[in-house]
Amino acid sequence: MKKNNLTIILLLAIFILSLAFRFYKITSVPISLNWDEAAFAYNAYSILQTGKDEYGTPFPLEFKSVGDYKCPIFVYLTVPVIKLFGLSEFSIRLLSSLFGALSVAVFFLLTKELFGDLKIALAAGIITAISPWHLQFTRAQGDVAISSFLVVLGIWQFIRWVKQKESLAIFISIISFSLTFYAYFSERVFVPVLFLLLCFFFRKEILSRKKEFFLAGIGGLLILLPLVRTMMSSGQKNKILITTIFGYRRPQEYLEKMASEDHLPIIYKIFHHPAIEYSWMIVDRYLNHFSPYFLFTRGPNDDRQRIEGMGMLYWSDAVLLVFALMALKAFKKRQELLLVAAWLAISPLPSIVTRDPVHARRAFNMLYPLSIILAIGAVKLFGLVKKKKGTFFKIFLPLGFGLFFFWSFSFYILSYFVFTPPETAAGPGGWSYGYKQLVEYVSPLKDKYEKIVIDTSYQGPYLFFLFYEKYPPALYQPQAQLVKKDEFSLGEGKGYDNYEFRDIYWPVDRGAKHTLFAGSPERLPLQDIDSREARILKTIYFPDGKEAFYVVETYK
Amino acid sequence: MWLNLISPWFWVLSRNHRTIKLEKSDFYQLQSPQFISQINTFQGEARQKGWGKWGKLTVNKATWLFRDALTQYLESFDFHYLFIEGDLDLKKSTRSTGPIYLSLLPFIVYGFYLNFKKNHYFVSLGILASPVLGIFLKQHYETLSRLPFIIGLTFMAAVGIVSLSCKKGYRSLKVTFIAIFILEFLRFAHYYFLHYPILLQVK
Repeated sequence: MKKNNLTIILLLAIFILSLAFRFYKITSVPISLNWDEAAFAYNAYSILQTGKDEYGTPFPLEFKSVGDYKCPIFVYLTVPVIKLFGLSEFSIRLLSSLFGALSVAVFFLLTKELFGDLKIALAAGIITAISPWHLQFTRAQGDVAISSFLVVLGIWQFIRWVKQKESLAIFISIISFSLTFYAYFSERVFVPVLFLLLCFFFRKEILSRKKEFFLAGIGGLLILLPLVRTMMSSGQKNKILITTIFGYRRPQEYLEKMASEDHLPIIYKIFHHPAIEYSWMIVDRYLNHFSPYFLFTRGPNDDRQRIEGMGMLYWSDAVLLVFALMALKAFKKRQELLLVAAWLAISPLPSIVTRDPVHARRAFNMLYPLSIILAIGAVKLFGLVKKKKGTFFKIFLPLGFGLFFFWSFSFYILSYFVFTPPETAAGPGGWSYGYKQLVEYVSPLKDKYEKIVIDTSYQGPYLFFLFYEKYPPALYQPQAQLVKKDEFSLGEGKGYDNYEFRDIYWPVDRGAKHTLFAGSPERLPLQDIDSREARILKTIYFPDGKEAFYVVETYK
Repeated sequence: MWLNLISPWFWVLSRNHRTIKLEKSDFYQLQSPQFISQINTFQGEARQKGWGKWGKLTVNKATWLFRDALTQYLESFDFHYLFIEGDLDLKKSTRSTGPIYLSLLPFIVYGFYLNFKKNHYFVSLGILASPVLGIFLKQHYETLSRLPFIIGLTFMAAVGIVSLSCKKGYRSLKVTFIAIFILEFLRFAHYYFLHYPILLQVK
């Protein structure tokens, strides 16, 4: 069989494998839509119906939702999907899965182009296709799936331009890189550094083909031009303050304690200087992304990112890492390997200035270089099994690794489909479970009450009501109003029609006549619901059996 | 040797050696209610969803023991433990830095690289195998059981430092390292003498 044909067959096989892993039970696992997904979907629906976002801004380049700002590409790409399939859970997850599978296919081609080795490319493709980390962010939460596709495409085309001397490739590459700025915020930190890195590695080629590179660069800058205005907006500044350590202030109590214990002001000023303490935090965050804690044993703390009982890689990948280290010594493509190592080293950059100790989503670009390294390990392992003689290499090594891999894979599948959903279902940090059931129950009762008050403890209820009711955006836009508790809070949609979205304070709210309340048990305590003035109509449960919402009506 | 003597782990363990005791309950127990209940919970959840046999095959005493042992082993390599905060027990760490100085990290990597280059696999493998002791303990991020590993890493850092110091040139690199190391040492010493005693008292 010709090598090109084999490449195409393998490419197709990897793509189909990726599709299968990404589309299986796409609407039921993750267990429900989170508020980011609902925001993306409703804004796409709003653009489709009115050409404006939920706040009535025509064709914006940043989508304000729950006071948060979202990149536009995912919203605009979702518009035709919603036109075709309607406003549904499937529509919002379709693109994530599709771009996820496409990025695996492109990554296979990138690896082949970089190393010229089909075995490494195949291993890298399979590893990414079934990677827990990749699946976590390409089965849902689509913006990162699209941005990472563009990053991989950009790198692949850059390398093609260098190695195959194809002029068009540099244009595709730079356009892809520029588009990532519209796809996901973290890429605005990562992509410029990556681009500089590629320029440094291939500086000779760039200098010898300056004209093409310069023209493509101008094209890229033109794409970025409209973004300048939005990058200066107050929304962007607010997002930076809320999510990064630049907006973080050390607690006054801590500072006073340190100052009093240090005795001499000079000691306090040196060792507790913000530069020292913040640098320490940044280094800590950077190193966390390479820790076994994050990669193998526990993963991130965030419920939307984590997989119960494991990290972002398979347990058996630890073995492949060891084999990769063994392979490095005799590895011939040193320059390419160095590029992969540098790619890996810069990938956590967007994540280290944010407040979370470790963040799988913002550091998602780490996965690709890691997959290449794991692929090198896998090829080394299979090479040893094939070449070496003796019982250890022929029986124990493949059997041992095979069993270990089978167990790791088996545990992941069980964890992802069975153990994780109930553990991560609740609340805004999780998958916001319960809103769909709540809307299905409350919506038909809408006209029976003067007012319906939905508690905002679980964040963003208005988005779920708009989404599941398919509320006409043209009617919502004039009513859209954001209410913020303070400058650092994301805020909430105030309400529409007779819906009011706010914190329920039962000691006061119990006096409201003929009103329907829906909220968590903490907001609507059972012992305080007096049967003479109110009654519980419905209880909605989390998958683990705990109460999520009480729906309570007060009498006339 | 001197690197070990000025390392945070040495200072902290020397100070508290009389009060640190390992008890029977600190060791991993295969029949502990927590261990059994974890397995039962996972198996039960899998059974409820119709994945019962798969659940039993994947989560059982043998695989869970293996998983726990692997977790404890891999924990030893956590950067946050080694360089940033150390042991969870205040008697074994000031919680302001790990058992090893962070500025030694590049030299540890360089030391391993040199060993690897010279085919001295035995030393490297010995160091990488030494955290195995930690898997017998129940506590996470425990320092005493990882001492051979920590000393081994410090040895690797020393190999890296000696190799760099023997090289001509690299003046700015050497000066930068010394400056960062001194700053880190003073930072640790300041925590150790000023904040740590108060933390211990509170505990």
